[in-house]
Amino acid sequence: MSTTTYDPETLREAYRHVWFVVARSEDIGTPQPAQLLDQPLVVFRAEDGTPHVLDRRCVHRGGDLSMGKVIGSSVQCPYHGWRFDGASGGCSHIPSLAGEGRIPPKAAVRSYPAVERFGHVWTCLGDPVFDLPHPPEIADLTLEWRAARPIPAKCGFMAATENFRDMAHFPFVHEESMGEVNPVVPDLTVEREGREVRASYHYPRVPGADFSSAGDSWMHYHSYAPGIATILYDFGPEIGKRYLMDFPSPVSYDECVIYWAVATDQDFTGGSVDEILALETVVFNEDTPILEGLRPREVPLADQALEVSCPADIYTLNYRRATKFAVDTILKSRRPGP
Amino acid sequence: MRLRLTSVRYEADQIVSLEFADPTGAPLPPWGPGAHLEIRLPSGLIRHYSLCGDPARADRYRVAVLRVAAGRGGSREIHDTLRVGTLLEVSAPRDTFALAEADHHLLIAGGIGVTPILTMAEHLASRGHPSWRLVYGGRSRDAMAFGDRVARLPQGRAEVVCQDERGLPDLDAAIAELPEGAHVYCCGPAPMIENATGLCGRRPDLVLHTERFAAAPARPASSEDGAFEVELAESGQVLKVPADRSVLDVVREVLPDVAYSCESGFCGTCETGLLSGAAEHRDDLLTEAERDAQRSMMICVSRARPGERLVLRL
Repeated sequence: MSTTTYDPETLREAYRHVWFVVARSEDIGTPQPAQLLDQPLVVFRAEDGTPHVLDRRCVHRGGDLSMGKVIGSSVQCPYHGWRFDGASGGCSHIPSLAGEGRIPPKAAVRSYPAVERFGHVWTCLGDPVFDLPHPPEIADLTLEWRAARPIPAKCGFMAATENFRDMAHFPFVHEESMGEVNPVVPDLTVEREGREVRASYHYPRVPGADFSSAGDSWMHYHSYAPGIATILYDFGPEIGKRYLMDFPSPVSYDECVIYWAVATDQDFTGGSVDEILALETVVFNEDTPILEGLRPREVPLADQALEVSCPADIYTLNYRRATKFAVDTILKSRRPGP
Repeated sequence: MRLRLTSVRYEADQIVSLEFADPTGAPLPPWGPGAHLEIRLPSGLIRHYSLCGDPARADRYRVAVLRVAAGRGGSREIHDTLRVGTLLEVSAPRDTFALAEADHHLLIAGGIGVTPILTMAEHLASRGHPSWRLVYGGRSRDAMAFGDRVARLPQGRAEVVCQDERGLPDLDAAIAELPEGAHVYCCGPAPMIENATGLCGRRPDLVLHTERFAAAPARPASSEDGAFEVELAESGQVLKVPADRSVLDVVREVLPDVAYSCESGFCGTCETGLLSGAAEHRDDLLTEAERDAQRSMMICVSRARPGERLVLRL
């Protein structure tokens, strides 16, 4: 057991070294504002197609770079037209300077790595300790992806992630979309190794419910703590497979944006990817009000609140341990060597 | 996937084996020794059973099931009601007990625990692996499945120990004679796994792999357990934990605010740092690596290993 306290400050420091989503790939044709761990950011796509993430505040007079426009590989501040290079964050142009004028050496904003995967742009404020995953269960699939409309939520991102790992809430929160799901959560074999947690859950079709109209499925849960939750739905050889990925992103300690995506395998006959997106959107919209009503708003990893658990929580309890493992690993890697 | 139950065969007293095939004859996903299936029974119960057929046959899966009269109902349902021809929802094989490459393997099976172990033995035999042993213990010859397959293993590799003839297998000797770096695989009843875990615990050069069929049942204290002592590091107090009480019970008398919740070993609230001594872990949350590290324990269910005194970070 570690002796770390997982208080909000410690977590924020640790999570600076984790990849999080800051925008959908399809949205960054114009500069987009984002906020990650209290840090305001701008995300944009350079004219050559490369995604970039910079601090949002212009170092000149504090203009909001997300209100500016893309010029070549730079973003131009809407206030005085200063341009900042997407890759380095360095100021590449100050329109008010006379021909020979020198760009002040400190004229730069911080730049962060930007990676596109699963239809989204990911960044990391510090040195990433874990790579972005390549989930092995989809390695052999040919997936068509849809990035869902991001959902801002007044709850911590771990609370949102945990919600996606919770099987006992289906018949209550999702009574409309999922129908009369058996409230009894069966014995699950939960496998946890490092920051990954897996379990499989058989979900029989509920007559009359759109959510499972395609048939019975195995829901293969795979989590990469602290913030990636996936489900591979396997409906068997005739109907095929679809996939759901949730990657809520911490705007602040108790506020997040739920970014998520769906995908269908090439042979999937249970609906088009757009139909699946519509169906899952209904489910997500049922979750958000519940998440915003949680108190405290974030998983009390530092025992800020008493919570009583029951055996149906075994997956989420393992997710919490995996999250602590991730935090411990990050803190250890940040500690100066011997 | 949905598979058809194509055969049920008597294997030993209270043991049947079941064979599954794809209803369309399609080949099944491959598996290796140690893999298991998750099977959803018609009642909705989900149970895990180790594969025990021939991994080279892609047209069928075979598992063996012991009828546990006092169990939670899965094996009774299989033995008493399941008919050939039924379609069942079966997961793809999962491997949490895979056979590692090693210079020497000791395979220990108790009773129905032979299912994953036997395929490991057959795998090693078919590959001509030069250094391995199988110890297979059971109640009586009538109650031990797959005697015929064990008999076909290469001479001198397998030792079958029937309790009514020779008592329990001598794991102490089997483990003591292992060369450095050997991998030990054990599947069987909880006392056997605990025994193997304890013996291997004294040999840090060995690698132990164990598998239970269900999540380890959280065992509350029982009169079979011994008494032991725990020391609370902060106050230096030494407390006696009697056989019939949990560490948590005893600690709560002096530290009424100690955190706990489920008292069954699954929630982790009462996880307590272990400064010295080795615990016998009975919780459902720690991974094997965390158990082996002996750095913490769930004091609501876990106890000291025989002869150990635990120093707790309390």
